[in-house]
Amino acid sequence: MMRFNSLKTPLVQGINLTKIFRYGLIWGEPVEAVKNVNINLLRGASLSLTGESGSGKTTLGKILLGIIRPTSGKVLFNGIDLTNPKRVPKYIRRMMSYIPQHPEEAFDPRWRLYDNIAEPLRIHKLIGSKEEEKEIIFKLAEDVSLDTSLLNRRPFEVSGGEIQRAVIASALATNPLFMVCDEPTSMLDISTQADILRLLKNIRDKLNISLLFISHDIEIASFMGFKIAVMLKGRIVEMADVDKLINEPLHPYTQGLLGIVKVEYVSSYAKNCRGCPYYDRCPVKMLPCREKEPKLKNVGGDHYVACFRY
Amino acid sequence: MDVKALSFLGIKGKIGLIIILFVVFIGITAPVISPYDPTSLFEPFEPPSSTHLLGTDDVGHDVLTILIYGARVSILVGFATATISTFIGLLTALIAGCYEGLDPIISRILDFFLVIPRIPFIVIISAFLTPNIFIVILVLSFFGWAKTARVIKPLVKQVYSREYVKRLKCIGAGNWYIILRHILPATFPLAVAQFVLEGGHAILAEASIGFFGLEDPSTLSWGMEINHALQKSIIFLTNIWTWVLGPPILMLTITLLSTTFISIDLETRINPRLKVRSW
Ligand SMILES: Nc1ncnc2c1ncn2[C@@H]1O[C@H](COP(=O)(O)OP(=O)(O)OP(=O)(O)O)[C@@H](O)[C@H]1O
Ligand SMILES: [Mg+2]
Repeated sequence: MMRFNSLKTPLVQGINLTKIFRYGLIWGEPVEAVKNVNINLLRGASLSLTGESGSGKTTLGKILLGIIRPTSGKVLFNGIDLTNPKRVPKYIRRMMSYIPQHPEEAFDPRWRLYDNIAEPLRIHKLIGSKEEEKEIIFKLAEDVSLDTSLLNRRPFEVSGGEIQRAVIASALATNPLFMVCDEPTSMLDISTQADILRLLKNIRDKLNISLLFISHDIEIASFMGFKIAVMLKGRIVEMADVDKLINEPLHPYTQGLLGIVKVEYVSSYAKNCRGCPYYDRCPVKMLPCREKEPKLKNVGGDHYVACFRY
Repeated sequence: MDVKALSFLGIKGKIGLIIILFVVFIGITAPVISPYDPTSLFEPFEPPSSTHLLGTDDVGHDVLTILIYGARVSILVGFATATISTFIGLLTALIAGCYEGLDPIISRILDFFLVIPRIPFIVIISAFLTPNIFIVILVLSFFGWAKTARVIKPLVKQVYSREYVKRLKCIGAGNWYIILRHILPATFPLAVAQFVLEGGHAILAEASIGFFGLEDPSTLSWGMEINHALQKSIIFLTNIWTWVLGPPILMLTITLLSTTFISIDLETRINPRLKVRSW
C-alpha cells in the first residue's frame, strides 16, 4: 500500500467548489447545493460537517470523493484532480471510502454481508486465497464488533446498527486514507449511536484516517472532537476547533443550532438570495446583510466565520 | 428484483410452465412420438379413428403427426428468436443505462425500431422472400430486440443510480465490473420474463406468416396447417373443420396463453406496481 510521507501538503483539497442542481428546462429554479466552498484536509486530519437538512453536506461529501462532479471548482486528492474521473488512477480510489447516508443502500441487497464487505478487496485484487480473505473479513468484523454469524445474511436481514457496522467494516477493508461518513447514526437509537460513534473514533485514532464526518446534529458532530465546519445553504459559515466552536460560537446560525439564541421562525425563505444566507432568520441582522454576502474570514486562532459582525 | 422470483412462480406461472414444457417435450421428441412420418400420405379428410387419432387433412397428412412436428417449428422459432432478441436487447439496455452519453443515441435507434408495426412488416418481407424458418427467426429477432431493450433499460438505470453502485465506483470499481456483477443479476428476472414474452410473440408472428401462406411451403408449422385448411372452404360444409382446423388453433392458443401466463406472473413479481392488476 502506497502511503504518503508529507504531512504538510493537504490530502484532500477542495478549491472553490460550487454545485448547482438544475431541474427541467423551464420550471426548475436552480439550487445552489454547494457554493464557493474551500476545504483542506491534511493527511490524518479530520473534519465534521454539520448544518441543517438540505444545507449541502451530502453533496459536498460526494464532491470530495469525486462521486458528484462540481459545477465549478476543483478537488485535488493528493494532487490528483478528481473532477476528471477518467484520469483518476485506480490505486487512488483504493485510498478512499464512503459510508452513504443510508447504510442499507450501501450494499447490494442480493449479496451476503460477507461478500459485500469483501468486495473492495476483490475489486483491487488485494487478497490471494479464499482462506486469506476469510481471515481478513473475520478480522474486520471483529474490529467493528459485528457478530460473524451475521455474515451469511443479506443486508435486509439484519438490523440498522448491524448493517452500519458491516458498512464500516467494508469501508475499512482497503486501508483507506480518506473516509467520508455521512450521517452514520441518524437511523439508530441513542445507545447504538454512541457505540457507533465510539467505534468510528477509535478507528480514526488507531488507523489515523482522515475522516469527513457528516451529521446534521451539532452535538454529535462535537462528540467526535474534530474541527467542525457549519454549513448553511451550501456555504460554510463557520469553522473552528470543536472547543472553540461549542464554547464561543460566533455565527448566529451556529448559536441557533446550539440553542443559545432563539431563532426567528420563518415559514419559507428564499432559496438563493443575494445577501447573507441567514438574513431571513437572523435575530441580529444589520443593514448590509441584505445586500452583500459576508466572506468567510479568520477572526483569530483558526476560527473562521462568515458574518459582518466580526 | 430478486433471483428468487423465478423459484416461486405463482399458480398462473406454474400452469404456463407445465404447458410450455409439455409443448417443448413434444417438439423435441417429435420423431419418436409421432405416429407416422410427416411426409407419408393417406386418404384426405379422413375423420378421427384408431389409425388416425385426429384424422387426416386436405392432402392426406396425418393431423396428429403434423401437429407434433408443428410444435417443433413453433418452439424452435420462439426459442431462437427470444434468445437472440433478449441477448441483443439486454446488452443494449445495459449499455444505454450505464453510459449516459450513449443513451440519447440508443434511444433514438430504439424509437425507430419500436414504431415499425412488426407483424405487417414481417408479412410484407415474407411475401417477397418466401422465407425458411431461419430467415423468419432472423427477421423476427431484428424487429424484436428493441422492445426488450426498452423494457429493461429503466430498471438498469434505476439500479445504476443506486447508492451502492456510486459507492463502488468511488472506491475503484469499473463500469463493466458493476454491470456484470451487480446490474445484470438485478435485471435477470425481468430479462427472463421478457424472454418468455418475446418467445410467445415470435410463435404468433411465425404462425401469422404461415397463416398467410408466405412461408417456405415445406415447413410443417401450425400456421401453415391453418392456412391449408382454410383454403378448402369445403371443410366448413361438414364437420371436417373440427379436426383439420381445430387442433392447430388450439395448440397455438394454449402455447401463447402459457407464455403470457409465465411472463405476466414474472412481471408482477418483479414490478410490484403491477400487482394491483387482477389477472
Ligand atoms: N441529485 C440531486 N439533484 C437535485 N438536487 C439535489 C440532488 N441532491 C441534492 N439536491 C439538493 O441539494 C441541496 C443539498 O442537498 P444535500 O443532500 O447535500 O443536503 P444535506 O445537507 O445532506 O441534507 P440532509 O441533512 O437532509 O441529508 C438540497 O436542496 C437538495 O434538494
Ligand atoms: Mg445528507
